Amino acid sequence: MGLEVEGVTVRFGGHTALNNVDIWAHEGKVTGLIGPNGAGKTTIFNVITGLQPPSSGQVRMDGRDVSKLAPYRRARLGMARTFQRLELFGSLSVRENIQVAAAQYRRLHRGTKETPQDTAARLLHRLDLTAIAHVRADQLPTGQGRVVELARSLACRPKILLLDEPASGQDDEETRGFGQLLREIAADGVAVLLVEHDMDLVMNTCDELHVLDFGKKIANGTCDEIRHNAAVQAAYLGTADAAEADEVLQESV
Amino acid sequence: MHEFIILTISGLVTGGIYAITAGGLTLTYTTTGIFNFAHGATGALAAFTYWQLHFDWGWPVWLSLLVVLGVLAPAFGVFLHFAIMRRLEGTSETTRLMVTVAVLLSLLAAVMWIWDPQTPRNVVNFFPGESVDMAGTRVSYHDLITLAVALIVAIGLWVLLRSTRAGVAMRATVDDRNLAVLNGSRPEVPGMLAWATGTMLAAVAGILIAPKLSFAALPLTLLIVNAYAAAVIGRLKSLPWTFVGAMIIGLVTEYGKGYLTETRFPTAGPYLSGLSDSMPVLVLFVAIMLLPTSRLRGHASSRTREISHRPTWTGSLVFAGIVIAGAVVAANSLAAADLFASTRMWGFALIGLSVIPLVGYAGKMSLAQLGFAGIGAICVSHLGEGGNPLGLLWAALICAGIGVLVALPALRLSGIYLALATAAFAVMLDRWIFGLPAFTWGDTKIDLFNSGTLNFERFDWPGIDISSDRAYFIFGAVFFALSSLVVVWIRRGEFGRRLLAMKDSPAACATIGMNHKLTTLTVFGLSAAMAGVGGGILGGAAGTLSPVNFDFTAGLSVLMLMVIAGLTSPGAALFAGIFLGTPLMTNLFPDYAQLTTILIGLNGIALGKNPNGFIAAKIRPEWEPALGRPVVLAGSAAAQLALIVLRFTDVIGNWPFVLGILLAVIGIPAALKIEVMIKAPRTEPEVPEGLSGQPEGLGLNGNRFEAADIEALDKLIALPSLPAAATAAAPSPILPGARHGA
Repeated sequence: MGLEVEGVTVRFGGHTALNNVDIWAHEGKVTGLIGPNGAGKTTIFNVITGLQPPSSGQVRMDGRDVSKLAPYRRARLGMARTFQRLELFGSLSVRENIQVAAAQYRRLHRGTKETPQDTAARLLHRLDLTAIAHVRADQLPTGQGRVVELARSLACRPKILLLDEPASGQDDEETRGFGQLLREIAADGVAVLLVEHDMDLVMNTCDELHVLDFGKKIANGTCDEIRHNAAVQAAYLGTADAAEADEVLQESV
Repeated sequence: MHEFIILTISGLVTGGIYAITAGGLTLTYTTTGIFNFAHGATGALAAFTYWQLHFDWGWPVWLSLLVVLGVLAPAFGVFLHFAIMRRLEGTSETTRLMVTVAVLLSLLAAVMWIWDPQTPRNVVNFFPGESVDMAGTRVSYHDLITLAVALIVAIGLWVLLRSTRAGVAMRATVDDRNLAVLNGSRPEVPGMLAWATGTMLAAVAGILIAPKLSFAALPLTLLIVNAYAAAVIGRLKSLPWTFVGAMIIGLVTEYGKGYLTETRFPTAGPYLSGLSDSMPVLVLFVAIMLLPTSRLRGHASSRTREISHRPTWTGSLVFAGIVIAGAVVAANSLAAADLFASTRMWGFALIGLSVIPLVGYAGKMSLAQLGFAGIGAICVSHLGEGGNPLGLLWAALICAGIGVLVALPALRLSGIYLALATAAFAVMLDRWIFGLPAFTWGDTKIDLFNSGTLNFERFDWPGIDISSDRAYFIFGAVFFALSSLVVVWIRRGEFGRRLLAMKDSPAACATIGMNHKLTTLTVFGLSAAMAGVGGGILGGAAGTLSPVNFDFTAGLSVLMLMVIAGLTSPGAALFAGIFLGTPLMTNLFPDYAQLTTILIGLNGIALGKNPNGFIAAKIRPEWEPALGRPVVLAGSAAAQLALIVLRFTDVIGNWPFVLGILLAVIGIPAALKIEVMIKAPRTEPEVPEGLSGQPEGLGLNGNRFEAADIEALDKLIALPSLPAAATAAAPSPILPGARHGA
């Protein structure tokens, strides 16, 4: 089970941002969503989380149609996300950012033993944020801000986790550690959907990939299949020269 | 039928004027992102200037119009843009709105100062007496001109925005200012154009409507509410829909005036007289309910200049203690008349405090807090008879309920609509509800304001007697101090974090599962309840209150003072209380009735420079360090205690006492600096071993930079030392790094 998106179309005026797109993310797996800039990746995240109502199509969580639910209701069913343009609670400290989310979870799940303070401490430790726990979130550099957003979304104990370019702003070593972290999160039974431009991270972390281009899904499959897919190469490189494209994609791994 | 036609024509004419105003409002809002609350006040200023030129100085109509509409109004718009609005980049929607409210207050006060409202003035129609026959009724030239101007403005604005270069630049700026700059447009130009045009349109509307209203500054200023009701129908962006909305509001208002009369409804008549004035407000609420839901937005700018300080318990307890101690001293030293007049301050302070959770923490605007205080005062007066303190509980409950009802329709929409809805509600209370005559509902006779004045008795608090002014003053201080601690407790707890989170990013709140509508309603109800209790305390202080105590502009003043001092500080509420609730200003400046308002307005205008308020910017950084310096605190406390003893033993009089206390408080930052100087005498920082001077200064300003220095530096940063010969041969000893190649 996990997340299923079926036949989603979004039109902004005359522009079709998403055209009949089907994607999915299974629990326990890291699923990649890639595509050139403007392909519609963030738009589909907004549709999935309910921030953008689609013109048509359906979003299902564990088989249940959530298309009509408000964003906060989807979140309560176990959907969490991070944002490409950071959406931190800037006037709160890093610790408080996580605590707000943990407290919200506990309000809805009265049986939770762990206090919000403990959840915050645990996640600060796990994501190596303890040193900056007292920093106001709007003072953080982008890379760290993304990790705080991840910590905040983990505090909601999601079943489905949508990550919008979580590694941009991080250096190579941080990115490697990050891939490992994503695998661990998925291993806990979370369906992770990852939008990312860093091909190293994507190819080394994802179990399955979906490729979007100009609002259409042009391919899906394992990393190997995608790497050799002619349509993907054309989309990424604007060329049909498969050999050259293959070379570039190979180099990135 | 004949009456219907007459009403329709006058409705269209009124609608035409609303359309002109609303068009200007929408234009500035879409171009600059600033919702100009002072739009009506600008129109008032223009109308009075026109009166001055034409009717007082006898200039010809064409010249007066040319000067006002062609020169002064656009120039004033450009001035507003450069002097005030341009500086609001990176501030929150609240601050931007409040700056225009400040302009409103200043303009209103200025107009009433220049043109004394006691002197009757008259503005007559263009072409007085001239009219044409249309559909069996006579329509004056003035009305025809109004309609024609409205049409020209509507079409002109539409063409301007759609088809001209300047218009496209205006629309581009609002979409993404930074992007527009990158693409080579100068954002100053569209902003300036928008303010010039908007101000001119406000002036046109002000001059056209002046003959229809009793020519006074306040009704012209409040025209803004009728105009933005129209703009809301256009979703604050569509000019054609704004035009349609203006016509609907014009027609509804005129039909209301024509049909909801005492002759038609003899029993209901007296209750309806204010209703037709409130028609635009009712239309506004209907429009808000029908508008499509706004999308949840993230934060507008990546880093706002506004920060909210997390209060400490120590600081808050010290504050509460000082408030109570200060009140005890004041209650025992103020003259009887001053003390009676000053008891009101705690009412205003509590109303100010009610702003903090809502506007300061949650970032939601309410322009109706004083209106809620009015409702609270009614509850306390009627339901707390004989000074029963349960009246306060009723006030809290009823105000919370009404607050939730007012906020409910605007919840689905973005923040600005909540501000507009609450302002409209406050104006409706003002124009209609508070003035209602007594009515019976079932068996109960309800007379909200007792047709003029509410009476209060001091609370009959169990165990203590607070009927004297002195006791009530101290009671008010204790009540306020405890309430301020409650506010601090909210801020430091989970609910406070939720409120701040909601202000920072509504979208992120939703994705962690927070229901932002429920949170907004909760805080809105809470804040309305606090304001209602404040109204009750105010009533107990004053003894009698009338609707004028709760009028809309007074409410704006309370909010404005809070913003000026800092929306998140309980100290701001105290400041608002002192400023509005004590005879301080009238004692200092007895001859300038408008001065208070002007001062408030001018300070509000400066918000763009310091959007966090002066408490966060000036007072806190200077006084807060004192908390950690017991010597300084004890010194100040000892000095104050000595002064108090001297005062009560009548060794010194009131004024030396006040002066001394002020010195003891104001002197704290100076004392801190002196203490620092005594404790740590200034010494030059130690020069590292082997260097001939401070490392930063080596080789500069005539300081020498020797080989020995290089060696010492190498040692300091743990570089392997090089043979002396290499050092000597190094071409640039200034850059030790260059030697690595050698």
